[in-house]
Amino acid sequence: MDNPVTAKAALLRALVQGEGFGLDLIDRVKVMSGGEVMLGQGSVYPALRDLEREGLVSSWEGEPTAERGGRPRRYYKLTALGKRAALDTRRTVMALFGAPVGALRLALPSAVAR
Amino acid sequence: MIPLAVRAFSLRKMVVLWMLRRSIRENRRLIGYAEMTQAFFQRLEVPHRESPEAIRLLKKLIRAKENQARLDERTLWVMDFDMVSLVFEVFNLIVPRRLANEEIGDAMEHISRLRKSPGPWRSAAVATRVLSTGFWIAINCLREIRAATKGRKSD
Repeated sequence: MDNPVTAKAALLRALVQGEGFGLDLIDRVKVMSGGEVMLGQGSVYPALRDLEREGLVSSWEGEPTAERGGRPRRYYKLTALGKRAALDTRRTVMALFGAPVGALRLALPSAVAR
Repeated sequence: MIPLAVRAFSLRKMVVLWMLRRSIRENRRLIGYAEMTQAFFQRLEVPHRESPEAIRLLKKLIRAKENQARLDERTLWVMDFDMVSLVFEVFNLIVPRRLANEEIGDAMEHISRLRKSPGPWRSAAVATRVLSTGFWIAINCLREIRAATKGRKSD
């Protein structure tokens, strides 16, 4: 089964740690999820631009560097709305999966019997 | 529209780079001969092999081989990076500035990081990264255009 975590949720969580740019955020998500969630360039940049359009993140260009062929990095950071959205996402995930494993085991047979 | 002079310059640069790469490969073949010479020395009778002259020659040969390998590695990398920059410059002319700065810039930064990573698959990894960047930039460019037209329609 594919990982159910969306790119947007993963990016919001990564940005809670502080501002970052595309490549850095991909690495951050990989490290934070212990390699479980791997964002690719096909998902991370559109997701970041969508988040910006929704007003959840803001972005700005840094200084151009030689190793990027004289191109600047684009940094992203959470807006107040984005911080709230990150908290809401966390709350939703915790509500769904945050119950102790024992409780889930107890709940499952009764759910099947019903 | 790409000015003709720019295109001619890029093409000439690509041809020169390709010729340089070829000449380096030729040098590598010469290094292969050096290895044969080394093996020849090793097969010599012990008194000859251990003579100061033979040892001096062998050491010189080994040092030259190591220097050449280091030089090849560095030159090839610089040329590869030049080639990658050239390919990305072409994308730069086509895609919007923001996409170019962000996605091409990140790809180039990733490729420079790959340089530091050891392993025989580095060239393949660089080629894969260039191809995948080209593919995703094209897709993301279309997505951006679609998002922009959608936004304009809803206004």
